[in-house]
Amino acid sequence: MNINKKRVFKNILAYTFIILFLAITLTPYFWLIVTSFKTRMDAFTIPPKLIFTPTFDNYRTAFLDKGFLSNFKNSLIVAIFSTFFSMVVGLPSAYAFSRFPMKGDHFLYFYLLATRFTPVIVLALPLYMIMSKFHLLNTFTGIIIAHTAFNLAFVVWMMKGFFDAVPAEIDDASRVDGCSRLGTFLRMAIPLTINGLAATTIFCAINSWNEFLMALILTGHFTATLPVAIPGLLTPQGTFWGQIAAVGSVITIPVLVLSIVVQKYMIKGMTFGAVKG
Amino acid sequence: MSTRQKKWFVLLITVITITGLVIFGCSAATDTKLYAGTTIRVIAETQNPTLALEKLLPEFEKLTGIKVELTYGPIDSVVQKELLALQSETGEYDVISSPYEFLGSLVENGYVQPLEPLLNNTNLNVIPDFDQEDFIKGMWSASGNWEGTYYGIPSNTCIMMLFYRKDLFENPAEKEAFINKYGYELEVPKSWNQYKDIVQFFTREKGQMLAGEKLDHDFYGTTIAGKRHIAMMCEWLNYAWSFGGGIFDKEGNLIIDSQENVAALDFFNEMKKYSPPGVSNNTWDEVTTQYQQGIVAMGIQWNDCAPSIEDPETSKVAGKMGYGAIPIGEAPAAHFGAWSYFIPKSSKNPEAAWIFLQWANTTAVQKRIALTGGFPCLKSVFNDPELLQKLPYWEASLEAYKISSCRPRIPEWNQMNSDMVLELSKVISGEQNSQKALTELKLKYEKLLKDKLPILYQ
Amino acid sequence: MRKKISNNELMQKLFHLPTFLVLTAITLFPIIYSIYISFFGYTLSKPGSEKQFVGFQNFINIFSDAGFWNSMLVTVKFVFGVTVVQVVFGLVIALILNSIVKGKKILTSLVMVPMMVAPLIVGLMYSFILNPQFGLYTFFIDYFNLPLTISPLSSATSALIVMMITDIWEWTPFMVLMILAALQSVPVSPYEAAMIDGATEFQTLRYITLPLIKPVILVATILRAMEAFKEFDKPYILTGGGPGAATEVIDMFTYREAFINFNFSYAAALSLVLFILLLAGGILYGRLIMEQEK
Repeated sequence: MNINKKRVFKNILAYTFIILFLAITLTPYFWLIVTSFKTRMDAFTIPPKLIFTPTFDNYRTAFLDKGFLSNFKNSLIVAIFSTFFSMVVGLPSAYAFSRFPMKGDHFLYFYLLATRFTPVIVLALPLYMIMSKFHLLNTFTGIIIAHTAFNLAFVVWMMKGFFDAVPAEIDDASRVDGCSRLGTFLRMAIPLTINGLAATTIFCAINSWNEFLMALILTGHFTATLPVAIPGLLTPQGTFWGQIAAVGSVITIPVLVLSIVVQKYMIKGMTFGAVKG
Repeated sequence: MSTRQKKWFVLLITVITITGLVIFGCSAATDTKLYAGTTIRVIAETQNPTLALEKLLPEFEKLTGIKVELTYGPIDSVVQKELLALQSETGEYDVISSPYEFLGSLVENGYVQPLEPLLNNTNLNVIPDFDQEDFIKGMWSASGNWEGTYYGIPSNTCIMMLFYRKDLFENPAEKEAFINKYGYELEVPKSWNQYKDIVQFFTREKGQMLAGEKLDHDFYGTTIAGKRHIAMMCEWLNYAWSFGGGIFDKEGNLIIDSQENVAALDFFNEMKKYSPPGVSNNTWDEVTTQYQQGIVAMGIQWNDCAPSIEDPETSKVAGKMGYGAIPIGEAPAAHFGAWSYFIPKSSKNPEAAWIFLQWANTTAVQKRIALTGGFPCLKSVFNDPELLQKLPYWEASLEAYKISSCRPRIPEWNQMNSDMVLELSKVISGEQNSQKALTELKLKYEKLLKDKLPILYQ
Repeated sequence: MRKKISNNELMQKLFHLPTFLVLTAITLFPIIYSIYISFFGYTLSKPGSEKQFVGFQNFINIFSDAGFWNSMLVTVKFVFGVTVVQVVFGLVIALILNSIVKGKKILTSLVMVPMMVAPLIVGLMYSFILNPQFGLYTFFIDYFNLPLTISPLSSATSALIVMMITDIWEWTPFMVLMILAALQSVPVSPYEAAMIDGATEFQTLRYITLPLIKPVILVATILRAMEAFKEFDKPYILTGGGPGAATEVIDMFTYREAFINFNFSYAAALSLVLFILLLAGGILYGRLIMEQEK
């Protein structure tokens, strides 16, 4: 009897703690979302209002009047294309690491790791200069190339883990049936790792969507992604907090939704498969 | 000639004349469309004058057939974009609006075109109302002349001056309280001692009285731009110059660590006490917001921010503000801030760009811009009585211009500004005292300028 | 037979080729280019300086640059502070979450939220909350009469603390997830043995759980530390490196030299130094992973 009571008590304690913790941590973010629906007056009143008449004005002004809709479009374009390319380029390499071990593997692994650990600023300046020589500045091509490269290590590491989980026997079976290596790769390995593929794709998209510094340097007025366009709301006419909140919400909510989908694969993704989720 | 021959002769002359007139008239009419179909890209700061210009762009397109793609952003991002674009010679911009302090850098790095060839090219004189004699010489020189050659044309000119709550200054209750406390009339301060008295006087807490009413929030005597940002350098130089300091003396030697500068920095830092909390986050934008919220009594600010403060839709104090001259310490002071239009050497459409610049500096356009907060560079607009009548800050702006000073425009200035705002920022955050900060700054400047000292041309 | 083997090798290389082509183009070339410009004195402040060869002068200057050392100090303080707190918080929360049976998935999803918010938005969010006029923070300390400063971003120490808090807010969930995953994959047998031996909860935690998840904690710590070292977005938008240089982490310092002061060569030298430092960390991480896989 005592043990059960203790257990129930412990459980209640645990729930309380977590809920309290969540209440504190989620308040700032909740506040951001709430502010996006407030009018300018409501947003700045003290004491802060929890009950108010919601308005879509901030969204309307930011996205329609101020053109954040085109930034949204830009973010989408960059995220989709860079994800696509990193997957297309990285998948074969991941498969090779998994299925064709060779002597130089460690060196290649390390090379990949190095690219992920390089601070963006180290690459930003020379990339800027190189891209300008090739007239890729302020184009979609430039930033897509950059994001593709940054996500590559990610794709390779994550997908290697997923390919590893598919038994080699399946590959052999398909080879015996007369399928080429490429065919095996395309027709067997990939469909069998569709979950991992989905998760990796979503991760890449999220990374590109949230990225700031590279986009700041490489995009221009017409190709600016959402994060890059936000500082434009800090104007001499005052800071449009309501609109910042609106754009901030639009930047973060899709990511939240997608991340719930890939929750299972979070850990794998964040450690490049070093730790199984 | 016989009568018949005479008649034919007269007819011939008439026909020739009319044809000539028609041809001449036609070509004069189509001259404006000389570069029709071109698109030029312009970049400028997000400020009232730029926004006003944006609204007028369709007219320009109608007149010349040239399409203008105008980009704008806050000063840091605009400067960065421009300089990076120029450095990489992308030809991305045909017109850049740049703070005038970059003049030396832009010219000596070979990024911008001299204007003389364009000015003298009569084929490009297609904008009927443009008259280069109408430029205010002093302004044009400061904004765009480097070592004798014109490279730039004034873009968004502005001056710093005194802003104050006229309604509070004129309030009988306040006037009485002031004279009781300090022994002299409450009026626009003429000295820094008076400035300090007024600032102290008006700093009140929630619950105290202001102009006969109880305050439901704290009220502050002043506010300063204390962020590690160009805004702080701009504001502080007013104090420095007024106190008798500055960066270089008349002979071009560095005097940045002089006693006068230290006193000015101490005073500036002291104003923190009477400002709303969080000054180290203030640029001129936050300062404007604080005026708009009605929590500040007096301060030093850019005249092109006044329209935002006079806008009843966003400002609580529209119509309550007064404008005057910055107190005179050793010398009168007003920081002349100018942006200039330049045409990059890498531009592919310099002629179309030049046509745009002419149009932007016609009386009609400049006046429309002035009505929404710009400070014109044309004599005709400068002295326009309608502006004086309509805009409460106009007279003070004109007066401020007369006593204004420029900051250095040498290529090293960007780095010097960066160093200066770092040191000033340390003083504001309490990490460093004024003397040490300025001495440190002098060392940095000496290292940077080395054998170029004394700097005679700025 | 021989033909098949060489086909095999060719295939392998072809599979790897696109990836390493792209990586070389986007990461190796820029670094080589960076090395190249770091040997010159290129800065916009000195027209014509792109042709001026200065050898190792930039690197020597880095070591005598007080701003650089200050930045490194700030970064080290930041990295150390946030990593330690994140591990501790992460551990506590993961343990508690792990003990909950019902609703674990939902609660975990909610815990994950801060991690998904773009760093730039995190910075802006805190900027809004800390606003001295209308921020939530200001209201709270007013309402509860807390003895806290109304403007934490104005003083050096408190600004750095705020910066750390924003990062702790954002990335503790990462630690939680990592440790949770480790906790969920520990073998059952040691626990059964412990129960039979009559061990207390605390003893189980100390002698069984912690040692079992130690490798993961180590990996997570190093990963987090390296990411924290690269911090840029939040200081950029929240403080711009100020007040003074109190929150100028090394990424911010390098950015300033490159894109605000336009000292291109010096910035290139700085980024190389940074790169080498992080590479060392990366080697460590790589070694750890290799060991784990054994």
